[in-house]
Amino acid sequence: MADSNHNDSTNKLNIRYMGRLGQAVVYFGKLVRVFIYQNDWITLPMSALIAGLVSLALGKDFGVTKEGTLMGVFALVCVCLWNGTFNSIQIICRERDVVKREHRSGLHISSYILAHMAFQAIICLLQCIITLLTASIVGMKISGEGLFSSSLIVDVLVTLFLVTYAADMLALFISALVRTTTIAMTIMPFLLIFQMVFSGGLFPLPDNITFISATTVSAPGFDALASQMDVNNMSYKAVDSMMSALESSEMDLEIKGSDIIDMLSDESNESVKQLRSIKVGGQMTAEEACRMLLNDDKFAELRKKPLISRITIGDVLDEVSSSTEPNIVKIKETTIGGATSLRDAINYVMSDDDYIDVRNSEIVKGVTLSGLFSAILAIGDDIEFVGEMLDTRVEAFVNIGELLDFVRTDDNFSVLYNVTLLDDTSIGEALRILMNTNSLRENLNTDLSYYTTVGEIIDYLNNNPVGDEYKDTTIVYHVKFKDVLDKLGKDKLLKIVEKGATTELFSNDYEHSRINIASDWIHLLVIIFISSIASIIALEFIDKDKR
Amino acid sequence: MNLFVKLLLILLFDSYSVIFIVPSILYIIGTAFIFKKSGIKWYFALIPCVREYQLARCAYREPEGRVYSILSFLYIVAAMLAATFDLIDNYIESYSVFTYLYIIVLIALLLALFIFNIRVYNGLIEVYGLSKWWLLLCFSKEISFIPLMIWGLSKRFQPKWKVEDIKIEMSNIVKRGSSGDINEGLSVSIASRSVLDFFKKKYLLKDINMNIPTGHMVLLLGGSGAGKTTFINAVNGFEKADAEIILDGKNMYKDYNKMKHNVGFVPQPQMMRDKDTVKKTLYDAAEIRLAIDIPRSDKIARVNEVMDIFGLLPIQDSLVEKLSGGQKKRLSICMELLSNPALFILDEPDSGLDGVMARELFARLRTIADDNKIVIVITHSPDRVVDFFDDVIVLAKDSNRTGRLAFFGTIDEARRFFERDSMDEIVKTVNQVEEGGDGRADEYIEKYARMVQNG
Repeated sequence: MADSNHNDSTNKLNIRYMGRLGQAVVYFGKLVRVFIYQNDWITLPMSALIAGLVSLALGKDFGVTKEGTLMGVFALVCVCLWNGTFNSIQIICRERDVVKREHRSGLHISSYILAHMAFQAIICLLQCIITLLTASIVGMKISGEGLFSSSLIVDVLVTLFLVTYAADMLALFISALVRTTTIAMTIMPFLLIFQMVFSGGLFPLPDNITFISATTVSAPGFDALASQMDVNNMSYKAVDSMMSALESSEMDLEIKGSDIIDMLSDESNESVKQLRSIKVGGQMTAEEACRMLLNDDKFAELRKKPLISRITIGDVLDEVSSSTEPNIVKIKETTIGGATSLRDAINYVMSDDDYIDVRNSEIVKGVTLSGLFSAILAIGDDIEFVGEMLDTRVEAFVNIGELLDFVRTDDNFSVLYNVTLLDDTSIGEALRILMNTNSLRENLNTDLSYYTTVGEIIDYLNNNPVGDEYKDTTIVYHVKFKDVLDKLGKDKLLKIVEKGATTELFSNDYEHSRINIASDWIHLLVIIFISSIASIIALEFIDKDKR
Repeated sequence: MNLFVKLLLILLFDSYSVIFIVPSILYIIGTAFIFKKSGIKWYFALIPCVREYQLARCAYREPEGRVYSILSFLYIVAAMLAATFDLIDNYIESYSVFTYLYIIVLIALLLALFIFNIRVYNGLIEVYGLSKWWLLLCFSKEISFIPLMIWGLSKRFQPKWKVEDIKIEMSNIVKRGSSGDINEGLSVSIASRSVLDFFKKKYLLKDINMNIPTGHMVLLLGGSGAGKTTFINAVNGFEKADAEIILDGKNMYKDYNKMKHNVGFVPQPQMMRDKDTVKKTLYDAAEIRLAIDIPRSDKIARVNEVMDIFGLLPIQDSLVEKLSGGQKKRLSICMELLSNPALFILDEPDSGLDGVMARELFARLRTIADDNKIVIVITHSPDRVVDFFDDVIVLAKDSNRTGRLAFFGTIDEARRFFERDSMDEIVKTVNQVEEGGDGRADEYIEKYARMVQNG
């Protein structure tokens, strides 16, 4: 008897026991039985109930308006999270002692987890089908063509299943990690709230913490579902009603002068450029023109230009002797008679009324005969021998021409030759004289016409102190918002408003594409995979439990 | 300040700012005096983390002390991180998420430290028999050195309870080789079973050697804390000891994954799924515990056979939760019996059973033992079933609180050895005084050791 026992136990070392897969199958059967006896099946009608209530609350706008759909998507993701988490949060820790015993008698932890995974997959799938059916019946609009299959509802089912299953696997990991159901149930709310907050569906998240979202089940689930519902191409109900309210509203706008100047100075704008090149007319008086010539810096150079060059008595005499101009000739031929000296002759011409015209007429630019004579007499007063020469008795002159020739040719008068008759003057001085001499100013009241461009006016306002006052003025003008909408193009404005609202409320990258949705699915699959591996690792430590 | 110096100061005094270093030094001095009074080496006060743990021990709060020590360690790490990356000063300007996460973790850590600080001081107040008002001085580490200095330096304050450092006489540990070259039966040679209990090594079992022949039913006796469960876990390989366990010539530890099928262990609570039927529970167990090449029909036959032995056939389709306490125990035993193990260990299978049912159960166990198996049973009511047993193992806690072998032999030898008539009285003899026993464990441990040495 002892021998047989010995052989028996020796043989046991060589016995092959059931493999991991076989154990998983055995445990799968066990889980099905426990599911039925434990009243866990109640989760199935419960999921129908939750889906029904959610659809009642959110179904009306789901698939119609953007915010309604996003709310619905968020609610569906939450339902899935809830279902998945509740499915398995207690499932291992409640029978931890049993698992510990079974592990010691040969159960592979991986088989145990695999059995749970297989069983939970079925439960999750059933829950998702029930959820979608209930939701469709109660009024959520999930119809149309899917990106992966011919029906959108199938695509949505895949997403819901993956979300539920990933949440389930996360909860399974928690269940494998903790030792009592109490701890598991303490962790669960934290897990759910964490998922909800970081899903991105509840409120917008700052960019720098999106990496936390990547660890949640809810974020990829939300993204995938929203993309499948093509949320991007839906319009906001709130925005629509806001637009209609805007259309009937009017408003006063204010703009500053400087803004207008800036706007009209922008040469890069083609229409502004055209506007600036338009020529406009204006009027000013001659006096204003003169003032402008006098004051404007632009004319500074002009003002400095000399008006008349230096003229000497010699110049005048030469000019007169050679000139053939009729009025000069007329002067030259004016007769004078009976004079005994040059002074007499000059005085005679200067005083006799018959010579008024002659003495006042200009012989060279700016110089009259009387001016010439006055100069000669003045020099005669100054220089003695010139005075003597003037008083020297001479033969009578026939006419003024001879008189002038005499002065020109006689060497005694050569000292006169270089005496300046008229000094330099500039245009500016001339203008100043013109402006300051009352008798002359009377002639300046004539109106003048001129031309300029709009651009020049604007630049003038911009660069001159005159414009500064205008820059600070506020101009108020009345606008009907409908006009603005028409001007802008309503579609364009709608996009601008929606974009603003979207970035505020939700991130707007629910791209309705296969790649986007597939990447979310893969994300969920990765979470499922990591969670299940983590569950196995966590449960392998079951032997280390305190007794 | 040089970063290295900063880190060193943080390591030693939790901070590098002078305002905090001074109270830290006073705190360490106070702690050192407290340690001296409580019988702990004063220099432990100089070692960060260990200091917190030892202080908790002085406060009779050892479990809290472990967490307290770990928290202190984490705090030091956090403070060092902050000093290295200048986290605190810059956190407003630098909007790094990691800084914020760090702040969140730090706040949680500080709160936990605060709570444990209060707990430890509360314990100290109790140990020194003081008024709770002292707690007001303990809310912040910056002032909490004051009570420590007062309690440590004044002769008026004396602790009611001192930490007894267990000194282990290493010379006593005799490492035994294989006790016998037997090819059948169970040979147990446990040199020691120790755990690293935080900062010290704690011996749970020491020097237990015996040979149990096949066909024997063995009673395992011992007071609470004597190490019965530890002994069993060491024997069946769940928790490996510094030992050699030979079952039928095979080393348990070396080939544990195969050998574990040769040991049936029936745990004390009925670890079974309530929501499964009796038959299915057993059948699933059979699938896992029996060889894969055994035909399905044979497995079903084996399940039926085992159910028949323990009278479970009439209730085979009931849910486990519907069974009575006795039925559950029998089902639990059946699960282990399926694989026909050579060694069968039961942890209090008769708890909650009346005398008749207990005897009925032990009669069935006797049958199993008679089928050339070894059955080891822990029970707290040994006398009503003592006639079923061949041998008895008596484990006792010695003065160092280590489980030792006080006796191994037949029932009659035990009665003579302890000069007691009943097993209950034997347990009472070796139990410690505070547990209501006679406190003679050391005496019998020595007597048994001498007896074994003399052959």
